[in-house]
Amino acid sequence: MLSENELIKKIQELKQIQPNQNWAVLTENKILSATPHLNQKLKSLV
Amino acid sequence: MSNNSQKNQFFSEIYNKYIDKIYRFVYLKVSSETIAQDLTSETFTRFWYQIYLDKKIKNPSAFLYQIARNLVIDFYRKEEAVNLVPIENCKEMSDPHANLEEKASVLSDMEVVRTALVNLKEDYQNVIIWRYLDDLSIPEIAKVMEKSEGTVRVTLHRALKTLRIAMNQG
Repeated sequence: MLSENELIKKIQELKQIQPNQNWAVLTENKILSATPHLNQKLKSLV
Repeated sequence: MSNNSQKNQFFSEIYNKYIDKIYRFVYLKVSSETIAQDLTSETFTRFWYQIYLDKKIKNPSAFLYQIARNLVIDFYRKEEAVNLVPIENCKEMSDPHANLEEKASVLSDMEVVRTALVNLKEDYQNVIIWRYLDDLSIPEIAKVMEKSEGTVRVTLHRALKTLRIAMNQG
């Protein structure tokens, strides 16, 4: 039977799951650059 | 927040602080890099809309996790259960110089714990992810879950116990 500390250590190995850093940077830029499009979309809804 | 530059700056601060956590939170539940990217992107897009529209967000962390949870629920409502993607697909290994045998051992351990974790009920999964992967404090988790700190402690204790039993059975 795993001890609680051993179990927590195993859970924390999942911290190795991380997004692709290029994807993360591109996605941030994509969201921020969508602002003009968002502005038009919002105006059309009002 | 009055001008766009301030909004952009605020968004970027929150984005950089939470992108890894939200991605991992989603990935653990959907087991697919592509789907995790799509849902994470949508989570932050919705967050950006709120900032852009000057909507007050008292707790960005709770807001982001709530959106991500809802998107995962919607995803499973719309789609058939996806096939599990092997954990080998995760991009980052802590030690790139470790030999293949060591890497295989770590991957196997990760797969065992991930599989056991995603088979827990949702509250148990979330409380373990928030406490031990995202390093949220008990008060922070209580805010996200909208429950008392005592309830969070009890839930965490039960979640760990259930996970330990599941891993020993597996």
